[in-house]
Amino acid sequence: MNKNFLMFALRKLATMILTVFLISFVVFFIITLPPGDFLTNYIGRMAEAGEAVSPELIAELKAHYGLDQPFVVQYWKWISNIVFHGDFGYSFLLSMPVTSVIKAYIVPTMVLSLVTMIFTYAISIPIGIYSAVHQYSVGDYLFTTIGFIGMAVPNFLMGIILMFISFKLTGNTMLGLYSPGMENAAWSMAKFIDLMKHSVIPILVIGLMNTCSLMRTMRGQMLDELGKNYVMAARAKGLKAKAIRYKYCVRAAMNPVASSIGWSLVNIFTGTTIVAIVLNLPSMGRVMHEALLDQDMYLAGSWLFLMAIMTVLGTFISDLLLAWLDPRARSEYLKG
Amino acid sequence: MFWNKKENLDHQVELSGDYLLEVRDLNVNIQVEEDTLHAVRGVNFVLRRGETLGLVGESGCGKSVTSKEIVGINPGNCSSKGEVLFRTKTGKVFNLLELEKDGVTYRALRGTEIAMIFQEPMTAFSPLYTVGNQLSEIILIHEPGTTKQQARERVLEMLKKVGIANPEKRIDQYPHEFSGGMLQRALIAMMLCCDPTLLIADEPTTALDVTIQAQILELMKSLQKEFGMSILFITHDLGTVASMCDRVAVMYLGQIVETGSVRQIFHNAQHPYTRGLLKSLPKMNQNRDERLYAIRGVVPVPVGLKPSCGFHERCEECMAGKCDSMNVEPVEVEPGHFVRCLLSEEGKVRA
Amino acid sequence: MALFKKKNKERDDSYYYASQWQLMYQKFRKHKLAMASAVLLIVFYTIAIFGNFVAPQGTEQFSGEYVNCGPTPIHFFHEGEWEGPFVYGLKRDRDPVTYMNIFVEDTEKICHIDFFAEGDKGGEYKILGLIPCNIHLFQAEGDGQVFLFGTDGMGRDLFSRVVLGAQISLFIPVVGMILTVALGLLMGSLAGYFGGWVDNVIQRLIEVVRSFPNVPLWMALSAALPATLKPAQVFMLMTIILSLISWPNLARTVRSQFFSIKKEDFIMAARISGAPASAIVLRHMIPSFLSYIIVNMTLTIPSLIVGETTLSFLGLGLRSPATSWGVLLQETNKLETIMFYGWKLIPMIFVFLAVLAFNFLGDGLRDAADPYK
Repeated sequence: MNKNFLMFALRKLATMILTVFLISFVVFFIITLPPGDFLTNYIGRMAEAGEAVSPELIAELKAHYGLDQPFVVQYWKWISNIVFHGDFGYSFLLSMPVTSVIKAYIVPTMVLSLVTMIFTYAISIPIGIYSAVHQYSVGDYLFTTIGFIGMAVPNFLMGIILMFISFKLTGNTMLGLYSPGMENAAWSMAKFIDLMKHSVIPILVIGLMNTCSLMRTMRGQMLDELGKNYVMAARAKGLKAKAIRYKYCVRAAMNPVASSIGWSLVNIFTGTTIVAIVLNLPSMGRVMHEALLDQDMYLAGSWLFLMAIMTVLGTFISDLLLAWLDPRARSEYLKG
Repeated sequence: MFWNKKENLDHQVELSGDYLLEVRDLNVNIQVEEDTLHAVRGVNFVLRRGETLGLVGESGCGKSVTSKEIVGINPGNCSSKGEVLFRTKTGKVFNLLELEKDGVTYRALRGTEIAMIFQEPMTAFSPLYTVGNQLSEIILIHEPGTTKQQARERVLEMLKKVGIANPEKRIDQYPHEFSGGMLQRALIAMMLCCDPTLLIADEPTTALDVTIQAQILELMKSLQKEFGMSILFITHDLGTVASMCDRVAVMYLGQIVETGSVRQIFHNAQHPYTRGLLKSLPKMNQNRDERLYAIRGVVPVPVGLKPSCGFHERCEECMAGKCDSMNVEPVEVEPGHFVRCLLSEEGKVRA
Repeated sequence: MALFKKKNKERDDSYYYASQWQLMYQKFRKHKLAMASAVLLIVFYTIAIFGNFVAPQGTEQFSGEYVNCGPTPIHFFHEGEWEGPFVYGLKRDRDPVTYMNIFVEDTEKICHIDFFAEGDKGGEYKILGLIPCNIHLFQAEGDGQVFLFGTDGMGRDLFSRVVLGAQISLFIPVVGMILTVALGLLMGSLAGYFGGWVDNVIQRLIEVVRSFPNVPLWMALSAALPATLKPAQVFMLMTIILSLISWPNLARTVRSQFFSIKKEDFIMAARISGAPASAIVLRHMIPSFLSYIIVNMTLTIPSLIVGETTLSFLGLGLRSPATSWGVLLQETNKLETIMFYGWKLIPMIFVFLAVLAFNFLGDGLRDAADPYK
């Protein structure tokens, strides 16, 4: 059993690596998409700024990125630099290696995403169960309506609306992660509360769409399960309604929700990117936006690559989780 | 005492003689959006200890709804009227319709006194837990104090009794690893774990292969001999009724149109509907060129029915002005043989 | 479910003979929200098609005098006297607190609103791009100004911009949807029909595209567009980009539908009777989940509306002077807009309504298409 599970995990890992390989190809294609190579653009920009770039540097960069060589060679140089040296290229916008930029921003971004993810699941699952069990009750209608609206409003609009509301109510738009002056203050209770206050809108904006769609999925799944024959059979054997609900229905309804982790990550990354731009948060999304507006493709592409890898990883975890949760899926996997 | 004090059950309900179950004037309505379906319309029958009663009819005649009403597991859009009297092992008589559907009392009866097996055993188990887990659960909820090990041993024994080979291995398998026939055996084992006095079998063999059907029927017969429970056997297949039942009740459009012993029904069917059903059975010596008999028309939808015999639209002997304008009451044509037809007269058997 | 009419005898026999589509329509009509959404969308699209007529100002016009002017209220009574619809003239003033330029109503001056007004004030346009015309739905007489939704930072009438922006914001998604569905259907059917290595390749492709967060990928692709492109080219490329990313969802479902339907007896029957592969796919398989595809089409549009709006809002899609709802919302990304020019958030309401209406419509269609409901 365990050996089989390991085999299954390894097989999934192999497809995952294949997918990441294909993704890297797409990413590199995007990096090289803007017309003219980035070096020419860079030199042009430097010249505009009145700075001359030494011919040695140009030659060195050309050799480093293999700019005068075919696409495949350039790709190989790029990917091998990443894999063997952790070198994602050079950001001409920030004049530093992309790796340093990512290092500086990855922690706040990941923390924000993770907190939002926990928030999303912690809220949507109980509400979904409640709505299904009390179908057509006032609460169900309320949550369904909120869910619908939450799914229909694009993240950035939600951000602006919440900013607007917050401004009208408190006179503060709650931009950034800290109030002015707090950013460099020493850690204290006041700073923590300030941070919490400023996190409410971002978490709401990033998580709302995801929460709403998960809520709907959970409600639908629960309704499906509650109508199944095994519920009737369990009632016929004298089991309590609550016990049936939690032992059988919720467990079964959780499977599709558990398998949505990868897809949740996609939504959350989209959310964090947009929210960072709209609400001016010091996370990677804003940097990526600036990089894109400036066609600083190495920076933007690397970040895109990282997000995609995270998603693939999330999907991988979902698959393992599902295999562990659902005996039918398990035996199917074990068969090969 | 296991029953709920809050429920007013003190008034004694009479249940005469050796009856285990008596259904009196049972009506069940199903609310489907703005329409009310009269699924069961005044059903009466009794079931004695150790007896098997066959409830026969086409799909949609209300036989399944009737059986689920007895167990109290109809969905929330069903409402019922009438009396369902049931005698427990201790001799106490309950009107099941007065009990709270998922209340303590009713739940304590389910599994221990009244058990039910279903048409599709594949969907009666949750796919997420092992068969053993779902079987021992019934013991654990009804007999608190039983350890998991004890429950497991009893389950193993039951699995052996229902003829599942290699139960030690099977008990830890998941439902999807069982075949349909095996699952039906497991379901029967589960429902008999707590030794019920009434087993309701809702078309238990319809979804199974023909060879498996016979095995399951044999199994039920032998278990009935061993445990002595009464069986309410619901089916649309008259063939299985002949081999399984002592008495038969034929249902049509929410009413019992004819009831009697197996002999009476098979040899002396009085109601045109019953006769039609019997005629439409293929016979061994039938000429192959001859077409099979079929009752014309379809079962009407039981919404807003006028006073009439439910069968008049399809009846070959329908009497215009009578059958289509008045309700028909059952008459006893011979001892124990009741017919709901205007053609039948008190004490007279038609040829 | 009007399955059971009150009397058996009176039950309309047509129910039994109604086609799948008639049944869907009957069920759909019962879904009030979806019906209302359908009506709203028809109104939106009609207005968008005749946008130049409805909008008092053309795309290229602006009045430098009236920068950041709030909405002008429409009055009917002047000093208690019925005047019919009119606006007051505007005069410049300074906010006593913030010292910012504001506009106040000059109650001395009454400008009536002319309906079906002819004149060069609103500029000339071509009806459906064909017939030259200069009649506008309404205009203020003389030098009066009707700014229903106020003006933007360049003195352009926001109402006109919303109406004209709808032409792009509502039609890019439709074109994108057609591309998406075509691509998704093609890929899904190829994978589902042939299975084997074709299926494997397509599945990997789907997985790769789905691994990218939508908006960042959209952003990256549109950022790669050269800045020198004409608006029409940007429009084309954006549509292609949006649909390149949205097809996998449909493809996945089509694929799984194919797999489940392949085993159905009627497909087996067609195959045994020697029908060619193309006929089996086009005549038997696709029609059997056509209703599903239509629902999916309806639900693809709102996500594309959001895509276009988001990209333009972020400055990575269409750029001014091209007009779309996202372009209009670019201004709301500045703090002072939220603080002082609240009316600039009005276009948001239309994005919201359009997206919500499409979602409700899709939901209604899905319920109607479900034969078991």
